[in-house]
Amino acid sequence: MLEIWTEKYRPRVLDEVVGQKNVVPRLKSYVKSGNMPHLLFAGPAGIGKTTCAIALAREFFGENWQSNFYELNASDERGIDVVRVNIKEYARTAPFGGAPFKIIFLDEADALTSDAQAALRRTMEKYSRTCRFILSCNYSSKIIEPIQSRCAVFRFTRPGEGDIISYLRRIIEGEKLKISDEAVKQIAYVADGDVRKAVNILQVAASFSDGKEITLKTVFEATAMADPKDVREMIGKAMEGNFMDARRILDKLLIDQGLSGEDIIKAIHKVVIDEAGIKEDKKVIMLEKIGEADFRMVEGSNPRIQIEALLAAFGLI
Amino acid sequence: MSVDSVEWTEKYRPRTLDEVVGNRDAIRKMKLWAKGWIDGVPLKKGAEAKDEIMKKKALILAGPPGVGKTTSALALASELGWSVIELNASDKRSGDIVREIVLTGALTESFREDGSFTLFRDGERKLIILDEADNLSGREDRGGVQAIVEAIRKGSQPMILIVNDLYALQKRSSAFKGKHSPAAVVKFRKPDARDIERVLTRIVRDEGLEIDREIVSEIAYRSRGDVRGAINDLQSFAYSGLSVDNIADAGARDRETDIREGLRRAAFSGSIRDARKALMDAGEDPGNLLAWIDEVLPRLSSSRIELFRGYRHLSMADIHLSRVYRRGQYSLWAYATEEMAASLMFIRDKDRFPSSFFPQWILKMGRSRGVRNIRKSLAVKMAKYMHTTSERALHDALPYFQILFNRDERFMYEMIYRLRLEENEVEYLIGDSAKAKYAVKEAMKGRKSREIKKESQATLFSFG
Repeated sequence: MLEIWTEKYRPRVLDEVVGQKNVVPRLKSYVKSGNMPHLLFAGPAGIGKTTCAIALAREFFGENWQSNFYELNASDERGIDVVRVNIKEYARTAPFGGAPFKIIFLDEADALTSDAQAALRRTMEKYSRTCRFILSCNYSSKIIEPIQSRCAVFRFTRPGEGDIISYLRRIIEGEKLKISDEAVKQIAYVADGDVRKAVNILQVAASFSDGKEITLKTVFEATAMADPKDVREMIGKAMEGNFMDARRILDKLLIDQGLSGEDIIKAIHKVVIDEAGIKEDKKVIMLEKIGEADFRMVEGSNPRIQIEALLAAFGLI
Repeated sequence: MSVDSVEWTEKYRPRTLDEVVGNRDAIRKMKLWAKGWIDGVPLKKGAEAKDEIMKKKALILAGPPGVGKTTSALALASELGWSVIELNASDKRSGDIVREIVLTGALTESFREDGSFTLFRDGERKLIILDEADNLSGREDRGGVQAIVEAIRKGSQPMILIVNDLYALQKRSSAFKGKHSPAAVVKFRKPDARDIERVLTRIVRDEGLEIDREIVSEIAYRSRGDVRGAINDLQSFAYSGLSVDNIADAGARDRETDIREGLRRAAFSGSIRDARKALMDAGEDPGNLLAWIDEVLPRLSSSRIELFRGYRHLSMADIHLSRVYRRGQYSLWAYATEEMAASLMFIRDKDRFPSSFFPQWILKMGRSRGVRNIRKSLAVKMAKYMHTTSERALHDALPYFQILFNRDERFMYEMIYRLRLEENEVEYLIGDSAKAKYAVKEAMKGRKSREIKKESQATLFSFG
């Protein structure tokens, strides 16, 4: 095992992309015509937005694709300066090797401030002769209207279990793994449409099996190890009214494990939904509170305070 | 550690406006005002200017101590080559000088012609800085303020008043209120702990000191926006070699006592109005105040319902604050403070109020800074390799990556090489520093012998 399989088996051509039947044919028609507009890829993480952007570049530019493809992550390089400096610098030079245009792939474009998006819009317009933009985002609603209207919008949906299983099969074959059918199904179930997650679980499970068959048990082991720990315990403490202990666990999650507030809320949500020990009428109230906390976190600046407020509310249930 | 006897607050006082910590908006306004003087706008009746501030003869710099008001005034003068007369309003003689300036018309052109007063040469600007203008001496305060107003109106030189409490000044003279005021107000705010940390780090470097980064950021944080205080703390730390707790106690104890006292008073007040006032008097940035209340709230609550109520208010306060900061809706600041006050007010058992406490969260964050930095650098390397953001790499991929790293030695060596991982990053992943050191050395030198195809390396490092 010398590589991360998500990279080793990342589809190289559009035809290999799984579960995006509404997207792939349209992208292929661009390749056929030799031209494309600016594109906006919307959808959750791990379902093929980046893969499609890279595959598209490969199909347009062939071997030299990397010299005409610029990838940058808006959430790492936030702000208006990125647009003004980095993007502009790249956009203004001519395409390499006689290509008709260059592609700038801006991941998580919804992380850009609206000022930066406005600057981006001007750049898109100014350099549209030499440059095509592919913006990716979780929610297209966070992209300002003028940009949306300049892009062809593609909505990526979560692939079904069948699609994920057929993709996993490709890797299983390539790595010559032995794995039971129910284990494959379980991975696809846990991944819940996130292809990257499915592949990661498969790789960890394979590392546990030491060359023997990967069983359902191995998959359970692998998923348990990578799940955010302690969330269940934190909820339990909060419901007992032991707020200080719950808060200590929360701090551990936020600081030692470096989880974001959003990740913790998601994990809390999952535990509450799946937990058999909580009565349904209580669950309903808890879910309402979780939803409110999640919403406030989008609005609020301090995830710790919002989750603490949620834990204090759990104390009354 | 070698330490000289010069005061660092003087030695490292910014010489130009751009070196001043934080307060970019205030600096921009000051430059604009100075531009007005350079063009001679304030001395011409009915002159046009693109901004009101350019027409004003004087500026009032208002803000808490140690945030750079005097420094900025001096830097402005030195940048423009203006000479400076520094007066302190609390000094009786300064009052006299101000009065004298008015009485004799010392600042008008006509006065200079009789030859007895050569302070000002033709066309030269002298900046008069009147410090502590909200703190005039003597019982004849009212007259004192009036003298300043006159001095501004009649004078022909730029003047800067420096105040901590703008309202105290405006209470004494209504001339400073409204748009006909002869002086424009420029507000200075407390700079961010990160900004202060940057200043301290530069000093540490320039002084050639070896002080742990965590200590520097602790000092920066504890200074609560007081740059001068932070630099003094740093210097006394360098002199004494004491533990940071001792230094911080010396430097920050008073401020922390103020905050605790403010929270205590808020908890004991009978009305939301008093509680709000108590919090405002604590003189702390509302964002920090939130952390303090968060610390003490669970300890004060004697029942689950109290705790729930407290956090309901605190959570609303947080939302108001984020709107203030993110969207600049400063009018919401009041609601944030009121929600904070409300969170404390309904505590029934006041005896639970602890005599001493400090936000644990802040200490925990400080202690874990090293680890968080390592995770961050690791995530950046992984993100590039996996075509994703560092945030996603950290949360989606790192847990799996870490398992594989520990279970498969070949994978570990290969990843150390491909991602150019460093010792501390490997140590974080496997939890063993000796092994990490060995692994990094082996991974870098022994790669060829592990028979890895050239082709796979080429594809992996090629993305911009």
